Amino acid sequence: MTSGPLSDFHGEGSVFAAWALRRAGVMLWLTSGMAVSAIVLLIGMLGLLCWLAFAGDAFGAAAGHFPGALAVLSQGEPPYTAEALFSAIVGTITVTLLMTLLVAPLGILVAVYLHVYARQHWYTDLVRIAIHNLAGVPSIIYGVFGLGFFVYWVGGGIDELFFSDSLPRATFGTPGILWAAITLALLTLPTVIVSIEEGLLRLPASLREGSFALGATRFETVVGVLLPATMTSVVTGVILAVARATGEVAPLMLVGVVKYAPSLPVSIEAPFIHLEQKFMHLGYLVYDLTLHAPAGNGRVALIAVVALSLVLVTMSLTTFAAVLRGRFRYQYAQEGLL
Amino acid sequence: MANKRLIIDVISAGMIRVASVMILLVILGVFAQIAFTALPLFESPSSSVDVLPATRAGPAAELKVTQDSGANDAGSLPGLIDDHRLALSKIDPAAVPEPKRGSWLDARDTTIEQVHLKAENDGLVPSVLTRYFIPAGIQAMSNISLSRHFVVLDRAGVIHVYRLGRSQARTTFTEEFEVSDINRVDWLDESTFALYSHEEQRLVRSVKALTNTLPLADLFSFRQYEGYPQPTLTWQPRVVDGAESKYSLVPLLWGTMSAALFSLMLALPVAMGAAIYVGYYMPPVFREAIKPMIEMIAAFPGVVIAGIAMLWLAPRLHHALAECIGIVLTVPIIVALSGLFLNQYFQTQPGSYFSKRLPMVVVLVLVIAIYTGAKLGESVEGLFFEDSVVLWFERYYGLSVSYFNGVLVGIALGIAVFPTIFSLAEEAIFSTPKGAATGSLALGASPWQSFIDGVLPVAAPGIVAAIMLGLSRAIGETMILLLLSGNTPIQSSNPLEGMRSVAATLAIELPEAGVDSTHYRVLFFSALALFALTFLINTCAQLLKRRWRRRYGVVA
Amino acid sequence: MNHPDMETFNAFIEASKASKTKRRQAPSLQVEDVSLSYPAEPNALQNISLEIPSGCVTAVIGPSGCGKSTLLRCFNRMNDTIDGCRYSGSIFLDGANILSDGIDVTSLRRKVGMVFQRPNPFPKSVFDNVAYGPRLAGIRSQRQLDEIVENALRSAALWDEVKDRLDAMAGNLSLGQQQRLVIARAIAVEPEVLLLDEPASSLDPISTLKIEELIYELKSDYTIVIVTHNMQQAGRVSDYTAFMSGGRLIEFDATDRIFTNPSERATEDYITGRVG
Repeated sequence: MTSGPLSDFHGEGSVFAAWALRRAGVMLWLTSGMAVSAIVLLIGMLGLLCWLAFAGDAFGAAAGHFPGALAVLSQGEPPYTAEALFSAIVGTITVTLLMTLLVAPLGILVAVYLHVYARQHWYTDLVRIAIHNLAGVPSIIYGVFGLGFFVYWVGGGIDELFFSDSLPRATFGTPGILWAAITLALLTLPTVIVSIEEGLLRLPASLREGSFALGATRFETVVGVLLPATMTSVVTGVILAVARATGEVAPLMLVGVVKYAPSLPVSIEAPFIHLEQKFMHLGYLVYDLTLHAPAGNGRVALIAVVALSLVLVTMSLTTFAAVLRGRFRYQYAQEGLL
Repeated sequence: MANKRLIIDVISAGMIRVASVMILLVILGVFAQIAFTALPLFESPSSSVDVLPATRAGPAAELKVTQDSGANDAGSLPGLIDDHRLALSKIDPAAVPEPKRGSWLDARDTTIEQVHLKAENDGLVPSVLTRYFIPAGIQAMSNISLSRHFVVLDRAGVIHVYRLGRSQARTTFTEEFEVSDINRVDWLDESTFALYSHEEQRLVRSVKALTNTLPLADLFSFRQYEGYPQPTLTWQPRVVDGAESKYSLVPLLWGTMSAALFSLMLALPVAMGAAIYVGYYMPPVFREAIKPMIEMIAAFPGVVIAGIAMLWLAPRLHHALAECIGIVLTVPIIVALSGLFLNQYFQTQPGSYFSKRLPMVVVLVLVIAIYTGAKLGESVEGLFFEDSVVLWFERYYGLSVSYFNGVLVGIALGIAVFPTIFSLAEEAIFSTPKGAATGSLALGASPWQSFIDGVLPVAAPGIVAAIMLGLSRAIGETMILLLLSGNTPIQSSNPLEGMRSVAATLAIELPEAGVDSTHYRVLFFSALALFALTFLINTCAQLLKRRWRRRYGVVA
Repeated sequence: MNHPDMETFNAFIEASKASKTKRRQAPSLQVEDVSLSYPAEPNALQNISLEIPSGCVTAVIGPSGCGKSTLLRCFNRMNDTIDGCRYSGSIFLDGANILSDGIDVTSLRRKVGMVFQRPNPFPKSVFDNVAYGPRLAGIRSQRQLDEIVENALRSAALWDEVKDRLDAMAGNLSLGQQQRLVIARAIAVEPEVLLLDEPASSLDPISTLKIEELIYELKSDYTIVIVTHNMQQAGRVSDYTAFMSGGRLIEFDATDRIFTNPSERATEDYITGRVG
């Protein structure tokens, strides 16, 4: 063995280096294993749902298959009939549409206010942090708020003012589809605001300046240039809100969803929509079927079908939003604006 | 022309400002409204007694003044056992005058004793729970209200309002009337009581007392309840009329936190590993496809995850616990070992950065490892645990196992919080400038060393923020807990027992709680606590992220 | 509303509307003792006084951060969009002080067009970009808009290149075309003054040359102020040159004089490349 700096390097150093490489291999495999298991989990859950829904008699008497599920519906007890499933679908769509009608303009309003009109002070920053945070507040809290504030306070107030002759039977002072839609709108408003404001932030400042330099007022700039330019982010935000709202059940349990609603919240006679009515919801149907439905042929399949459709709707909405967002970025990158 | 445009601009600006500020106020008002509903719970009760005019309750003649039957007026409870004893809970009529269970008030001249039958050794022993002293002597005493208050009028003309279980009168006040006339006090509703003159069949006064308040300490401290051998922390709101309400938030908070911790124990390692792999090792081209795919797990709503877990996992988990433990213990070891010995073969291939082919190999290894783990668990169970770990622990250690348990909740909740943690942590890792890591690699460090030295220190705040947001998601998730936790408000660190979380309690109990009752306010207070907790965690995470972005100029 | 400056200004606007068809005399800009501060930069401009002659190209040169863009943005009050910006002094455009409070900023900006460093077309079609300003002014007739757009594009020497794809997204044009589109957009509202803020800094040499030719052609109709850090460009296109440094005006003179025989040492140092 020769002595000198090089020998140290070849001696001890190489042992350490070898161990470091070995350790690196272990961590690489472990982390990649985790990533792979995540994908396996996703595929597994989807596959399980499909299997439960369509594989005939997977669980003996307890499960059944999709035709079995339909049979259950056609001869079921009152809350578990085809009409009820239809009612749940209509209820889900109606409440989501109502929520969208509320959340889109409100989201645009607040985002435009924060981005264009509000002076950039520490308190605008504070409001921004608060909005980001509200997106992470548990949904049940919004349900609690909706019940205490909208149902009991606002709804009770409306009843006293306009429906005093039908009291003590409450009209609006009881959970209903209007309060559910407002609660969902509040719940998703932060998501929409954040998405639109992000879109506005991504627009180059020169766009705004260019419009001002042509003598446009702020309002004209917002309506004529900024909003059309960031329309994709508005759509993305609303889609994400819808995706989130379709999966929410907990707050609805407090503000208007019921196990069985004998009539639909919409009708073909005026006023077409009955804002004070209670309604059925697919997410709640999953909960209710899981917990209360009598075990029998096709019950599991029925639950799996409803759950699968919920998941697929959410997935396609999320994917659509991601694609839109990607195209938006691409478009601006192409135009040299980003 | 210009003027019209300017006017439109000014008006629209004003409207947008006012409308947005109002919307923001409503959003931020969520907190305020919940607080304003919850906090009157802790009001001092002594200051708020309204003396209503006697006529308010109508002429006394219409009220049935019957001392013997009890339980016939609004807001009253099981009545007298005999001339000096008042039952507090339903008492078996056949057992009177020697009750076999329940509790009662025993009133004798200057003292009222609340007696309950306490479990001791084998039998039930009558024991005094609370003593109430009325030095001036009892003139008349009311029944028990639904909120478990009773009123005593003493001979000096002082009215005391007591809450059962507390020897201090909540409200004491003096009234100007001839005491000797009054020989009956009774509740009209949950918070109003009336004083009657029996001879004249006349209502003398009706009084509204504040009965829906509670000291803050009651929610968090040990309390002695009727029939319990010692003071406990219990959540048990009024189940039937007349039963004692037990409002301790501790079991609920315990359930919430333990469910969150179980879920993090499962989700954290997987999410972090996947985040490191996707954000650090994976070439950006693959990342573009894989990341959104993993994030798709977020498309499963809580109720769906809970449904799958309840229908499919729960019946299996009970039997396959050993296999599961075997898999959890074996898989990481096998994957790590194969990394230790096999990695060099993939690393030496020039050009193919190992991440390209590695996942395929890892899938194989995973399948083998899962199979081995399950078999191993099964055989260990057969050899050492008499074919069933669950039964073995039950038999020899008295460990109770419920169908709905912490492990089940942990798995389902773990799946729910996984996308949150993964997505944010991956973002933090990926958007960290790679200069330091590249430099470290150039100095001959291994990729993992470069990650530890070059990426992790920079990404750490973002990762911590991701974990915090995951925690807050786990705390607030409702449907999974509602379906899978069994909703048993017990406090146990045994992962094989059930639990009850704050969020699930809100979902179950709030629709049925009367507006502004004690129960309603306690529930609002627990919502406030939940809100404050998650808001605090989220704010910390936000601030961490902001600092991180500002420091490294990263746009994530 | 009865601010004296406002009245003069309105009269000026009316007069210019009346004289639209005639050959106009572009106005001059008198800058008197203008100082300006941002929260971040208290001395952005200090006591600037100069007179920008009408119908000429005036270049503003100087090292980075000397305030030349800020000065330019005073002429159409674009600095108003920055929070906490304060200014004093006055700038007279045809006798009206455009820095006074009573001025209708949106009308001013229609009289003083501006082109920015990087082309900033709106994400709309070529036609809609140019028609944006006229539409704001209330012109709805398609025939009128067609005419305005064509004239503006011709003036910006872009018509021949885009006449077949007026409906294409503006972002699909090349950078040089985009910049000329933006100039056309500014011309379409018939301004009196044209402000160019380093209009060629993000363009390739050929596009730059085209822009310079365009400037040369436009100067008969407009008072043009151009900010540039390209000395040769200033020399090529401008009649007058102002040299600024550290928020102060160092020297203002005919371009020939500035580039051949500057009276200030600092100017000479800058022009010959010893500093900056």
